[in-house]
Amino acid sequence: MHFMMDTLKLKTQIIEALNLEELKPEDINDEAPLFGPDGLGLDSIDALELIVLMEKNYGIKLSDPAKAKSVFVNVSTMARFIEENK
Amino acid sequence: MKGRVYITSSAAISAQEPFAEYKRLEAFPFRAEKLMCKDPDFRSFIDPMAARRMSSIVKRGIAVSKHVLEGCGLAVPDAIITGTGNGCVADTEVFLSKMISEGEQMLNPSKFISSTPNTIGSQIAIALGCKGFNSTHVNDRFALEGALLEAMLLLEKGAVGNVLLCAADQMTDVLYNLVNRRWLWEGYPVSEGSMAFVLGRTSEDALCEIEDVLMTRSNPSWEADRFLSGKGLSWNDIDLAVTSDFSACPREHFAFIPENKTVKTYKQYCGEFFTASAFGLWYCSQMLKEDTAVRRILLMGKNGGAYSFILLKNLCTN
Repeated sequence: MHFMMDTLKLKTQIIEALNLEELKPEDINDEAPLFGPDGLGLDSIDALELIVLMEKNYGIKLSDPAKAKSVFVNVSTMARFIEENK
Repeated sequence: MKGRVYITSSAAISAQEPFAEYKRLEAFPFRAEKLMCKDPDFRSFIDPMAARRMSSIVKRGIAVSKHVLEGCGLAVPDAIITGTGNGCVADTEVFLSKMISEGEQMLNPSKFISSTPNTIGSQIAIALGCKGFNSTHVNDRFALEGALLEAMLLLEKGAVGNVLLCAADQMTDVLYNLVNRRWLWEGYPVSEGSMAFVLGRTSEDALCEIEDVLMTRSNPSWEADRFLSGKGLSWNDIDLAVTSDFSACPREHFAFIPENKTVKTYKQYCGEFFTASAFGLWYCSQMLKEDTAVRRILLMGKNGGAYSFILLKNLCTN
């Protein structure tokens, strides 16, 4: 798999956008779920913030809301989507 | 008003020490700089993941509500009623500023969602797991009184057994500059605060009884007389008048109070904000819990051209 996206930078942006002040980028596992109790525990408002983050920082508009579920599984899926669409 | 309504528990987050005791209040000087809240450690009350999107007014609302409920051993109230003059003004300012700087594009949803005044009461409900009646009064200078009146009506009707009443306002740099520029509050230190009360229908372990509340923009002297006579009372039945003035001039806006009446004030302890009368209510409720010599207090508020009267009765002197 060809995958070059800098997830450290993405994690920093996520922490800033979602006010996750208690976390450092290295605390977030690339494969850990973003939503639900087993991962970061983000919620639907965070999903909206992530959509704004992608548009503001990478110029990517997520026009199909149904796609969000597969894009925001974890940091890796999000990074891959950015890499493929920017 | 028929029936009886009691204050079972009360607490305040203000410019005083967090959850200050009534007998240990610091008096601030007239024309002091703005007085900001001294906050408790919010981590004791709110999960950090939930707190990350909350502005200070919401955190204070949850913290003071949990504290006041703990004070009377109640886990979840039947209803939550909130009074606020300006609501979540800090989030509103951020949202509007970003709307300008981002050219109305790519606006962050969190600040938009949390900029409504209802956020305070709704977040308190979520934090407590309360699915009961929930409403917010954004009545400028009558916000506390409007919320209190609704709580009393609910209790009188028997719709609920208890009500969590929260009154909150926050100060921001923008608001501070606006208030100062317009000289709205006549030199009183501009401030903020969050107060909470549990109101119930039983006198057991209660701090005091709330006999009635009145809001008016009419002549306060006539209205005070009318208010008392409506309860079959006169100034002779009032042991203490507590006014929203400063200690140096307790009758500044209430010159009609009879000369022989003892007058106390509370603004020197909390400064001025839209729901400052809630601090006055907290002050009186704590005083009535400890001072058995005071049978009745008439709490009198003035904020601009608006006046409020709240009649409180000591339960130790029945």
